[in-house]
Amino acid sequence: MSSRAEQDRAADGPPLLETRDLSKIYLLPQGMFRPPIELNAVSGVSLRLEKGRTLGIVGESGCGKSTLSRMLAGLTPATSGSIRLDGLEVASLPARQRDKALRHVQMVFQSPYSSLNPRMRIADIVREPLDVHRKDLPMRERESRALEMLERVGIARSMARRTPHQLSGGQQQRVGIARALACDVRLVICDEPVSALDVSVQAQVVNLLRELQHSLGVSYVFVSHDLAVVANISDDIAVMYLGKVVEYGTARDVLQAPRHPYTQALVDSANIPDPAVEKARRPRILVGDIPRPTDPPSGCRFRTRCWMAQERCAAEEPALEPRGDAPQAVACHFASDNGKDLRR
Amino acid sequence: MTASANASAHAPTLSVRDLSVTFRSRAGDVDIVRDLSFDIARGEVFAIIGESGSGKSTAAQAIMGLLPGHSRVGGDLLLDGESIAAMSAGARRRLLGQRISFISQDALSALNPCTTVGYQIAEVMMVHRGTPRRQAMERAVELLSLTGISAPQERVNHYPHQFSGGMRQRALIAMALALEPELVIADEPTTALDATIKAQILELLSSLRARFGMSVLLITHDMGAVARLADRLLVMYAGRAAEVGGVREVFAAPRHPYTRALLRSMPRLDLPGDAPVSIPGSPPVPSEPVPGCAFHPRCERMRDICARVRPEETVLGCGRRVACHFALQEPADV
Repeated sequence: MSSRAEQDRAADGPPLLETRDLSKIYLLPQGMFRPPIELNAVSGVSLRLEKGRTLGIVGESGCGKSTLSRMLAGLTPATSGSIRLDGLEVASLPARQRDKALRHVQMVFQSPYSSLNPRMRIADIVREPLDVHRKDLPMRERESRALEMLERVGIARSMARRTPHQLSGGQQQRVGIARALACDVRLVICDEPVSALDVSVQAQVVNLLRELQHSLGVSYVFVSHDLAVVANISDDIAVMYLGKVVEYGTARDVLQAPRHPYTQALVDSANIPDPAVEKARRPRILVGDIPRPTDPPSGCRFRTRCWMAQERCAAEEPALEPRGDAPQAVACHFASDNGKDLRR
Repeated sequence: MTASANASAHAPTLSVRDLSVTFRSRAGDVDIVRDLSFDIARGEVFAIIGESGSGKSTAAQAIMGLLPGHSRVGGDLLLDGESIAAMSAGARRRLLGQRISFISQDALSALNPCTTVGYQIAEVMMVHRGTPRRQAMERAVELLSLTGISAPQERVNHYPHQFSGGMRQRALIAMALALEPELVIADEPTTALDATIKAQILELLSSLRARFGMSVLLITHDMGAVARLADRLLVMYAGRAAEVGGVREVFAAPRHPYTRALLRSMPRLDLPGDAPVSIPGSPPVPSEPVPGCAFHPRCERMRDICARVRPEETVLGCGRRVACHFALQEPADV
């Protein structure tokens, strides 16, 4: 993986997106006389994404995946660390310049209905980013671009005057995607884009995103709790647990031979829709719950639920790095011995 | 069917016969469930799978007798061969908890925030069996421990907000098992949970079923959970059964185009290279019924007849039923 990444760097200059030690700390007020509690929503996340590729981010509630995606889209300021777009540092830019730089980054939200203005026609919703960023274009041109974009996501021109509530959930999400892609976009942050949709409609939206990537060359950061969906669309995958990336590499390496015990448990917890496989297999079941993010365990944050945990795990936090013969980066002291025989 | 007076040992735990549910509204009557029939055998996990608006949850509520007043329920329900549909409201209520119990998706709103979890479990036994409070609380501790809650002695005195999502779901399961019912209805029991917690709850349900031998009606949209847990399934579409059969048989060779499409539309972790095949369109809204076969606008093998005539169920043997005009033809033939 690293060799490929280095080749890309040599050929194309800086990656489209690169984060270094990106962190977000929320301060939770505890009333007038007590100091606020710190919540480390995202801690020291370093990721990179090349043009035209998809980075999947997977994890359970409280792992920081939504905070991370909001930081990448510029909707939440980072507490520390860097976000580079095409080599340009955006996290520390003044607001106006940052907004300009982030124009090429758009977001698709989980709930299609609540992320669309219910009083606007869908053609106007899709045109709005052009109204903001492309005032240089005449109105008619912006209108026709919006209609074109709607057609591209599979919404007929005849529906352009409808309002969001007249559409099904899948159609609403298509409008959300059309809006994100309307204006010279290069990176789309998709935060659980199919979680609110029916199973039969999920595949439509995932396949649409894939087609658009093919024809427009956009890159995606695809955030989801559903490992099977992430596996299906991503080139690279980062697995997050309590604000940290615990495993990071190509989708194939991470899913076919996971080395972090948490990734292994996550892979095991995904049911395969095949009773012959499912009824025969003995999945590894984690004990206990996800700890509260305000009070993470010392050392390795996963150790309270880990079957391999030893004293060292409580004392020393494992770094995210390639270990043993594993091509992916893993934040586990015992990763090099773990998981070699787990291919399924 | 079995004579209702004689609850025979061979009767299924639950027989649902031509269940129909209509909601009356100002805009007219809306059919939510139509002519649904199935049997759940003793100790069997029977799954109803469907998307939103398919009527699966409404069917479960009709079986529980929990539908609101503006609904009309038709058909018959036999519990151990005995009809319960015509029972008085009071008699029906006594069944709930004792012989049929319910695990809902939203554990937080299913629990009373103002009393302890332990008391809510004990209350079931106090109300239905007249168990003395102290004894019932002791049993609540046992039940919590049985459902895998650590430190149950302490936890029994906690309030629902002090429990995590997974623990609340365990508490609901404990409550559902308190009176050792014959049938547990679980409505999307894992949908609100994280992946690793969902795996825990599925495993728990599976081990409890083995231990208590109760029948389970699992209402879900999750094909993976069905593959893991269920023995037989009913695929529901637009209020009707599209396909009924053994889980292994249906997954291995789905006969209804909807079942086949649904299986192909799921991304599979074991086959990451295979892009899921999407189903065009979206599930119909109950207030706008589709003429003929409800699936025909989205169906890949649609013919003229499908838009005009609603297919009757074709019985294929071994409890397999398929509501498609072309149920007997191989997909490749059409």
